[in-house]
Amino acid sequence: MRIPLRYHDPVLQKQLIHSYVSGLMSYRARLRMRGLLQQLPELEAKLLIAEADFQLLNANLEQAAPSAKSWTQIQSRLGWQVERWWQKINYWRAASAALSLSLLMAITVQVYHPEQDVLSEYVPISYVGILNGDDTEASLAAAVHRATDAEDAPWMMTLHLTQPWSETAESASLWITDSRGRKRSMGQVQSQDTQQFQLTDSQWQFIQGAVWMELIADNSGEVILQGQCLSLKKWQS
Amino acid sequence: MNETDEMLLARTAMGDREAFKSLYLSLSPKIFPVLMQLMHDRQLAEDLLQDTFVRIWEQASRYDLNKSGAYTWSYTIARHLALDNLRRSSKRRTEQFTGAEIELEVMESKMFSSSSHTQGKVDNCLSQLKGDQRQAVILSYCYGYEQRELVGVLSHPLGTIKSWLRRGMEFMQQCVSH
Repeated sequence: MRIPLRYHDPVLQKQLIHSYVSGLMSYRARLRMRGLLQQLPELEAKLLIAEADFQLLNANLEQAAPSAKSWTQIQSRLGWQVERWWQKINYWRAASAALSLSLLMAITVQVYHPEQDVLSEYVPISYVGILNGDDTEASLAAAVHRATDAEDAPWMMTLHLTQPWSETAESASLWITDSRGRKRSMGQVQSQDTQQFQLTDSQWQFIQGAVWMELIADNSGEVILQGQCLSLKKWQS
Repeated sequence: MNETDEMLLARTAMGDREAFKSLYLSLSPKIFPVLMQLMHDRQLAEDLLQDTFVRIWEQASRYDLNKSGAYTWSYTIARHLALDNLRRSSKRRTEQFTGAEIELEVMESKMFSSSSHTQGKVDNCLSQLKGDQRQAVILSYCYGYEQRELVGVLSHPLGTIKSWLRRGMEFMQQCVSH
C-alpha cells in the first residue's frame, strides 16, 4: 500500500510519535499508527529514539519480579511443553553421555603415555568466507575464531589475501550482510597477504547472522570480491 | 562470560530458548513495574508481561541493534501493548478507581520532579515545565491517563490539556536528548 507523502514530513512524524508515545491516540488511531510504523522504517527508528528518551521518566522505578508462574505460562503459550526433569530426553542423554565419558576416561588413564603429551594450538574456526571476483585473480579468505582456545578469549578475524586485488591498490573495506539483509562494515582491508584484527562486541554479534561477505572499493563503491559466509559450528556462549 | 541483553536477544532470534529465558530473567523485573504503574492491576500486568515476551520471541529477528538497545525495544513493546489495552476498553479506567486512588496519583505526579523518582537531567527538564503541564505529562506517560481523564482530574478544558501534552512531550524529548 502506498503511503501518502505527508507521512514523510518530519514535523508530522514527530507529532505522531509524541501522541503515540504519550498514549494520547485513540485505539483506532493507534492501529493506523502501527500500520505506518511497519511501512516506514524511519518512523519506527524515530519511535525507538523517543522511547529511549522518555523511558528515563521510569528509570528509577523499583524493580519487581512477576510471579513464578508467568514464565511457565509464557512457555505454555509458545507451545513448549513444560516437562519434569525425569521426563526430559536430554536428562537420559546426558546421563548416558556421562557414563560413556567416565568409561572412556578410565580406559585413557590405563593406556596413557606421558611422552606423547603435546600442547594443542588448535583454535577452531567459527565462521569462514572465501571471496572471489570477476575482474581479478585475487582471493580473500576470512575466518572468525577465538584468539586462543580459552573460552573467554576475544574474537578475532583473520584475513588471507592471495594477491593484490588491483595494481593501484585502491583502498577497500570488508562488508558483511546478514540473513536479514542488513549490511555492516568490518573496517578497511590492507592489500597484504595476512592480517588480523580483534572484533568488537557489536561486530561479533552481527557476524553471527552473516551470510555474505564483500570487499568493496571505498571510493567507487564497486564490489571487488564477494562470497558466501558459512557458520562452521553452532555459536554458543 | 556475562552476556548483554543485546546478545541474549540475538541468540533468541536464532531460536535459543535458554537465551530467551535468561533475557526474561534479566528484563522482566524492569518491565513489570512499568506495566504495574500503567495498569494498576497485578494480574493484568502479568498477562501483559506474558504477551510482551511471547511477542519478543516471535519478533526477535526484527530487532536491530543499530536502532535501539534490547531493553528499549522490549520496553516499547510492553508499553504499547499496555496502552492498546487501556485505549481498547470503552470504559474509562478512572471510573473504576476510588477518589483516594486518583488523589494519590495526582499527588505523586505533583511530587515527581522533587522526589527521588528521577534524577539529574530528567529532573531538571521536568522542573522547567509549569506545574499543571508537568502533572499532565507524568499522568499521561507514566500512569496511562487519557486526555478526557486528565480533564476531570486536572480541571482544565480539553484544548488546554491537549496543548500542554503536545508541547510538553516535544519539550521533554528535546531537553532530555541534549
